Amino acid sequence: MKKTLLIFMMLVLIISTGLFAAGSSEKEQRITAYTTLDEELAQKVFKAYTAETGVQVDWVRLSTGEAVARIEAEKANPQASIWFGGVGIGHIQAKQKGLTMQYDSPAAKMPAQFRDKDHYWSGIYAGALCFESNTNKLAKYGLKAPTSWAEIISPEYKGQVQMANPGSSGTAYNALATLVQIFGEDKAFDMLKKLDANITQYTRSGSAPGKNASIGETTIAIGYSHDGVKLVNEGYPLKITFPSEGTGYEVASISLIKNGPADELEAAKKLYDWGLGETAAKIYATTFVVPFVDVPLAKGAVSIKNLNVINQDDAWAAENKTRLVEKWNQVINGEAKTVKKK
Amino acid sequence: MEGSSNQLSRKEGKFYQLTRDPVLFITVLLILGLLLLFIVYPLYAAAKLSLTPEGHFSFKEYSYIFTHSGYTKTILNSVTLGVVVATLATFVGFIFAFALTKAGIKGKKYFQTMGILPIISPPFMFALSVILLFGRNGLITAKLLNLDTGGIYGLKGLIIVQVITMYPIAYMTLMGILQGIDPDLETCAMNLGAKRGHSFWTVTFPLALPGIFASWLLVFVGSLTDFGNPIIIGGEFDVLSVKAYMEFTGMGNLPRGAALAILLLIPTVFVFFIQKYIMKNKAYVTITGKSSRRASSSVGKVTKHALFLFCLLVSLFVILFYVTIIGGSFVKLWGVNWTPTLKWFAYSFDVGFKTLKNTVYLALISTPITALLGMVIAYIVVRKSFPGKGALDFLSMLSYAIPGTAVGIGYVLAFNKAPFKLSGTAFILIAVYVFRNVPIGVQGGIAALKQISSDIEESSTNLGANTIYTFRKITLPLIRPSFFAGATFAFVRAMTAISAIIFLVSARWNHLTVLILAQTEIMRLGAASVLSFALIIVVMGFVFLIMKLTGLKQSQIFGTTN
Repeated sequence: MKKTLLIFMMLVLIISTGLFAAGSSEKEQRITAYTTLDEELAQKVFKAYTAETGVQVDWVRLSTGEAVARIEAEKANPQASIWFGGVGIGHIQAKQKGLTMQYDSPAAKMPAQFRDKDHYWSGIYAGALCFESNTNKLAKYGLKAPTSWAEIISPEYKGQVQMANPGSSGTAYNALATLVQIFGEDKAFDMLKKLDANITQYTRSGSAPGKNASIGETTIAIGYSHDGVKLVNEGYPLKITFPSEGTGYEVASISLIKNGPADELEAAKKLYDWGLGETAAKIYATTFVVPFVDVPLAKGAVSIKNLNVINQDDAWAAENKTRLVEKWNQVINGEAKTVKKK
Repeated sequence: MEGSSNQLSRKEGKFYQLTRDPVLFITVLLILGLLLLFIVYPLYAAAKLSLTPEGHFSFKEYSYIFTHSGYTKTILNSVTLGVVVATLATFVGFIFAFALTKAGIKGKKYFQTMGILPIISPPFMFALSVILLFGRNGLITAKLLNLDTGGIYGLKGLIIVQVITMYPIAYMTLMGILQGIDPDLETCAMNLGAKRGHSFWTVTFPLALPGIFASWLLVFVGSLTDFGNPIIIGGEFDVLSVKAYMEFTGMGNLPRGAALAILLLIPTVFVFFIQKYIMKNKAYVTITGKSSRRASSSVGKVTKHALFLFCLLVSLFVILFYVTIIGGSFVKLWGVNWTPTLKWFAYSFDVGFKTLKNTVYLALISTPITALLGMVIAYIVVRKSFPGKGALDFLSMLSYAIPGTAVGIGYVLAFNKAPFKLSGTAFILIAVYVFRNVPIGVQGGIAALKQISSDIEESSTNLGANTIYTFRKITLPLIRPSFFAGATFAFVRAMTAISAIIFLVSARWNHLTVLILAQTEIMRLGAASVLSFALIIVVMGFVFLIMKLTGLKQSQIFGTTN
């Protein structure tokens, strides 16, 4: 019996020390990052950075809402030094809550409206909201791809639409704020309530509905066009349409987190600069986004310059987020659900 | 309550033992301190925040929850789901246990494994399988039956998945109970002229009733606190655990998230009290000396075949889920493009290898700590007498009753500021594993120790050995099986944790289950399948290794919870 105990203990020791040795060769520079980039893009970006500089990036993917909530919850003891990617409204919100720090990056050369005048955040690419429809499913139900906000809320699309939860997803809040900016608050919430009848599920992450539409788990998704174009290029039967009343867009951004790990600050600034530069932009472009640095675009990428985009007020959207999401929760969860129940 | 003078002198006696034995004194103090810090303090932090949403005391969050139909419906959903799942899972578990103990069906050994297999699976593996099989692109629904149903998301899907995940709880609880019913009683009934059915309903079933009730409660709590399945397959059907997570992490509404977690705590602690203080005192097992006679006569031939068929169908259903996950790992795009591929393995290696390594690493560190702590607590609770013993016993078991969601939220709130800055470290995850799983070891240890006469230990002490020496040389070898059982269980639970650790993972220390969840959510089901597959292999490999090395049987390892 003693022997087996011994063997067991030795085994645990060997395995754990082996893993430890392999798991953390300390002393090298590391950066802890929260990222809201698509998982696959994040993998590419940080891998490229490590290959170029030798600096390890430990990252975890969080949706925009989750990232803000996480950084806020950790305010007293921030765990990460940089928030990479994620809808600009979230970055503005983080600035307003005092969660991020000023950094005047020498690499910040994008047009002024895509960066913070106080140097809290800088945009890396823009992407517009769109509808992504699965053409097979459309044909099956005899529907056509919606081309306006007015259409997507009509009863013919009942049980066919997915969008994310505006509380957790920057994409979905972007859509909510867009509707309010186009139609005014009362009308917009009236529309969201009608839309709710068509929604099968509010996902946590903003890119999930598009993926669900691509494989037919839902018929129509509300999401960003670059995510949609990417799926089309992968061969999925998706049709991308833009609402005729105008659409909103995201300014995916980077911020440095206030009081992040001190030994990471300088490295994080370098990652920030690199993230705004050409090498990174080329990697972003492979996922069909339109970076603010002038790099060759992937085939099919849609620039917001060529779209009917609204004159978007992100500062307003950020300021009103808590109130609007709370209201949305009440309209959707508080009343609509019980009415809907048969 | 006894007379106060009597109690006083007894207390003095207890104190005397403590002062005489400094090692014991320090150990008790240390363990009590750890339990207070890692079990009570986080709960206090969560409760406090939920009651002081704006810095001062108010019931605002609770009244908001109870006056808004979105939240009341969530509560109702959780309860409905719990009741349905508890009933069905107990039914399945009972039939399994009955067929194996009383009916003597064929393939007993094989079915015993099936009875516990779902316990050592990743938390939402079955949910993933159900989507692959019955989703809109499901193999069965869309391809074989050509149905178009989005209906698997929600209550229906959740019921299927939770029953499959949780019938082992009922099975394990009832197995012990049914084994404890002396077959002679049934034989007597039949000798007195009762038909088999009559004997079942008048003897076996009533004797098993407390066990059925206990397993119902356990599954009810299991369903209520489940997080992994509902977040994947719940769809529009909101349940408390997911809602709390969304409020806390998604919306950043910390007080309301905490309030929802506290609400979740109420029924689970209630059940814990029933279990610990009411059920325990009811002697519902008819132990009259182990009867070794085979009880093959308690069911008729037809019943026996029916029972066999039932167990077979359930087992096949479970196996189908495993096969699906393995299949899903090798298919380019489930439901759309069935070309075989290895690309998900390459992708998963890229995305998940570091996380898998870290997950195994932390689980391995926490495993011996959990098992040892469990044994030490069991030892001092059973063998020693000191003031505060009741509290120690209570606290060490309490964490079993706390929903993971409440633990996660509590840890975030408690350990993110001085003096306990632990968030983002490996330590906080290890602490969660250790203190959430220690009750299993304690329970196993107590059961084992009670069977061993304390005379042996006393002899050791009389011969001059101190507490540590006695524990190491005498007690530990005697309780070795429960030590390893506790260790194995602790490892399995650390590897398959989700509800608490999802709040606590960081960029540096992610957990494989969280990664699987992320992959599932973005519908990269191939990668999710590969990662689940990897997790199953690690867990089963570990269990197998322990069984080989220690010679323990699986029933010894997984039988400790009842």
